[in-house]
Amino acid sequence: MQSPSNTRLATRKWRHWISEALFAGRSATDYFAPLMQAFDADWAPGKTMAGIESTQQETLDTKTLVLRPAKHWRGFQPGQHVAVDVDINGRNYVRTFTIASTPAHFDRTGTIALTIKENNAGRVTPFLHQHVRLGARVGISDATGGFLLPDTQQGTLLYLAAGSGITPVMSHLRTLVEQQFPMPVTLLYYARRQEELIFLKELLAIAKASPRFRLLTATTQDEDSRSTLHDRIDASHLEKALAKRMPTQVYICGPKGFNDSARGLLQESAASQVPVISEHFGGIVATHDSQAKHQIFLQHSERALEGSAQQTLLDTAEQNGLTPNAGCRMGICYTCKCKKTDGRVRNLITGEISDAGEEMIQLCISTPETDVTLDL
Amino acid sequence: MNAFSNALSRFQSKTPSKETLDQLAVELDALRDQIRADLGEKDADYIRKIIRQQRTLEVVGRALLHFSFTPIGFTAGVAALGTAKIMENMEIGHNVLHGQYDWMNDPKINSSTWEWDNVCDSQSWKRTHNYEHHTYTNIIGKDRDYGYAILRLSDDTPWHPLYRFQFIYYVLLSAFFEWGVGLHEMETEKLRSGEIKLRDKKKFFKEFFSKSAKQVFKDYVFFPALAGPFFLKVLAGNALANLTRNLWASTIIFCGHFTESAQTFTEEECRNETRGHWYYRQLLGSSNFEGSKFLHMMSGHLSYQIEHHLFPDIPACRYPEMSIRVREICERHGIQYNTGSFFDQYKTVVKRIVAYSKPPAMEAIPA
Repeated sequence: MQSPSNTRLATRKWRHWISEALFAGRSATDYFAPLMQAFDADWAPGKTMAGIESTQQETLDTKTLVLRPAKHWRGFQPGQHVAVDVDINGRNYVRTFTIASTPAHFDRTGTIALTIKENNAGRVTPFLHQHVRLGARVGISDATGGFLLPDTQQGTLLYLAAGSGITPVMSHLRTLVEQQFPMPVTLLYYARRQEELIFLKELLAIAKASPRFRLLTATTQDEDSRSTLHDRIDASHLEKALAKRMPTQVYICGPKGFNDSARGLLQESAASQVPVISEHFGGIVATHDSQAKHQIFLQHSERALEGSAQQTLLDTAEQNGLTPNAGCRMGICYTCKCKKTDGRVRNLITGEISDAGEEMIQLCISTPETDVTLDL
Repeated sequence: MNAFSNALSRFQSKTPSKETLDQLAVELDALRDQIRADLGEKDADYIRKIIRQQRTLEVVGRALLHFSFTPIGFTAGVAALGTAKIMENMEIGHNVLHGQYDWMNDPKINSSTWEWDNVCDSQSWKRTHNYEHHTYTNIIGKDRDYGYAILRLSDDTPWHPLYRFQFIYYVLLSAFFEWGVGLHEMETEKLRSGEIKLRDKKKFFKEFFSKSAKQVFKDYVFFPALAGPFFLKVLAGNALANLTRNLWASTIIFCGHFTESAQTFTEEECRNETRGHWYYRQLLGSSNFEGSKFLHMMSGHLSYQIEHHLFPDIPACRYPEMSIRVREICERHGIQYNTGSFFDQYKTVVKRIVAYSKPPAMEAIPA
């Protein structure tokens, strides 16, 4: 006699087969979705949509977008991020943004705030800054990320942030404000110029209202700014931040270069044993140095190959003993199509450099411009 | 040789000079890049609209077949479902599977995941069509689409008495076209000659049975069963709809490469082919036909077979505007551009099938 779970599994397999037969490999929901969308433009099964409610300019190149996710969106924890997908001129792009607001705010208003820095060389952030209409819909993923507040309210926190890396920190700080600032926190925040310090007014207000919060700002390219510190992060800056407040947890968030420097300095400091949580931001800049070597990470094979702009990804894979599907080897038949999860590649036929996010590419006509991660 | 191939020699053009071919490559590449850069919301909206229309038609067709009890309702159901299947295979499936809409980064409308309404498995189709047919177009011995292994369509295939009846094979192939396409990867000619054995095709057969079982279940088991005692009516309706699609698809496809003006090439000619010569072979090996916008859509824009072969991964709805430029480029370089009315082109296809069914020495009886 079959156990209940076996029967359920068997029925599920048959239902799945029937659905594939009736709807050519799809589920019934997917088949009817285009028809449903004629009546309800928001109908997007399997996806959560969010409406853009309002925007606010923070600094010259940073803007906050307030989103209202659909009712079934599961919420988030302070410091987490979401993948947002947006249609721009017929193409869908996916980018990750950190939520700068708090869960309590979401519970009260049903909205979340994404504070986004515009990257002039990019495609998505300029669109979000300049062209997106209020009421427009974007796709939003479940929230993920490990940049989380500690479980306990005993302890002392140190945040080292630079540029738009302040966003997850703001989510933490705003949450702490809601909780009457239960523990001592120091924030050391870097920007190139004084006017580029995002949320400065709010940070100063928090510092004024909560004696447990100590704010140290620094400008790296603005000698005469009103910030306490100047120039890039160094041992003396860190000493000041650690003075009289040895942290029990350190958080670092900023561009990769800043994160690496900060980590290095921490190792050499009195806080070398303190646990660190870090997240890095900023896009990868494609080098046009055709001699440069790039790492090709293969997710399935769990290997890293060395490639360069001189060799197509297909050739690199084959030289390393792999046998990805391939066909015409001239970009016509799409047999070698493969998912690129990260990195930029150059299309040898069009000469274009690809997007940095998840995209399908043809291995036979793509060369790496940066480190690349492939679903191979 | 026969009267048909004598007539054909009219169309055999001399290969253009290297300079012409290089210039051809530059100009066609530029056209492709220009259109590619222009792809956007208009094209995304178009394919989404066609998908919506096609699915509505399919639902309406099946509903008509289920609920109608008069010949008019039944015929309307067959027409609707047949049209839906034609649209799905030709304007949507074939084009999406070519990667024409992959640039949209849509998880459903892309060549990796699309499965079409046909007993032919999508992966098998991509291998035989996207790769083999489009790479080796009209190269005798390498383009297996040329004759589909059962028809003699040029002097390159030696004559055999069985070819006398090839018009019957053609009619049968057309009536059961989706099965011919589905089994194309079986390479029957190689099985017959002993070059490969059945067990070499195990993986293919697994894939084929998996897909065709689902299709047979859908059209000949599930929907008829829904009609209870009237299952025969629905079964007949679905069979007729599939037949309609098969006949239409085979007619369009045969017009693409088997008109009298379409040229074939040898393997030697195409060894180490330059990009210019590749374009040239795609040009000369394909033919267009003219007609209304509706005809173009129903043919999946394979009425622009030339443009499709030059630019297989550009959305087919762009071929009409590209054809104006391609024609102009051909005229300037003195390269033949094969086109004509739909009926005229199809007539020459039938002529070819009949002409090559006869042994070489015989003169074809003038029509």
